[in-house]
Amino acid sequence: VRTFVATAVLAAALVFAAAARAATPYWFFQGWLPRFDGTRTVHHALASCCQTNWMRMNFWPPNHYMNFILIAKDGRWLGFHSFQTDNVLGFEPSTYSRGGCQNPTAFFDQIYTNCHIGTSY
Amino acid sequence: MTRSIRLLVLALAAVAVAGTIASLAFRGPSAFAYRSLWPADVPGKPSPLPRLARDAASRTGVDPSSLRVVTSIGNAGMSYSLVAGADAGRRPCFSVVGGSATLGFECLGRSSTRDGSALVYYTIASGGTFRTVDHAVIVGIARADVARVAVTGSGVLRELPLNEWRGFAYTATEPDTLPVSLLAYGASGKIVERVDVHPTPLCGGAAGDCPA
Repeated sequence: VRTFVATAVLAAALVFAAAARAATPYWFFQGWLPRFDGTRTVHHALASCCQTNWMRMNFWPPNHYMNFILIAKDGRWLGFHSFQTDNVLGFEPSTYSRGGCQNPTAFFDQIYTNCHIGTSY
Repeated sequence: MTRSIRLLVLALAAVAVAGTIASLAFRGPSAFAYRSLWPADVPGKPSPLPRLARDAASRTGVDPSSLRVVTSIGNAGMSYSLVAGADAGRRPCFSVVGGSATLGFECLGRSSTRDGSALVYYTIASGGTFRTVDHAVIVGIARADVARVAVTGSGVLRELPLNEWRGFAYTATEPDTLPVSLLAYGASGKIVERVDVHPTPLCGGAAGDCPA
């Protein structure tokens, strides 16, 4: 009986994890930056506290650079230029709590942006 | 009849020549230029790099054993390096490593938006609050036809020395030294490229409202 219960619990946990994974969209943000309210930065909690996180950003049109954003646990932030229209940023999570994407103020253009954070890309 | 055929042949030849010229022109200068204006070998010095840099290289098609450091700036607490490598096509690829992070490698001639640029550079900015920028770093490398590189900030022009691999670096920790433009000059002293590098805070002012 104990083996049966353990197996059932494990199976339920696996089904739940798979469902949760399937329900989580790959991109945490898809849309125009700046947003209608002028917001130029979008960010999301880390995918894992304890292993390398990867962000991926792609954008269109490709006429300028965008920034990857990292937000530290103490509130400091860090931004990296990215010129490739589809690029990644890997980072160690020990000092960071969130990651995101930014359309810098150097540009007036509205940029369609996809932004992802995960343990892979 | 003979005259018509001759005219037709001439017209077809003209179209073929025009098409060839147009196709060459629309490939842009980069497709031809980058091989002659960027180093054939990977520039920089072999240096120990974090595992993440090698991982980012292999994930973005760059041979991790080819990695070299072109230039670095900062201190032991926080430093940033421009790292060069090569992909399977021996194209020059660049990334920036620092802050416990590595950007994916960007290879010239491989759908890069910077193939025709005189500079490959990265700006890294940071702030103590979402509304402020209190630190900025630029690391980059200049093409062979660039004689000098300079940065402007608060109306002051600062020349950035080029190292043996034509790498350059700049750091600003005061508001009046934050970079605004990066300039590349040709041998004649004429500006060949001017790019906007002024950093953007996460919110406030032109960056949009901050959450309450």
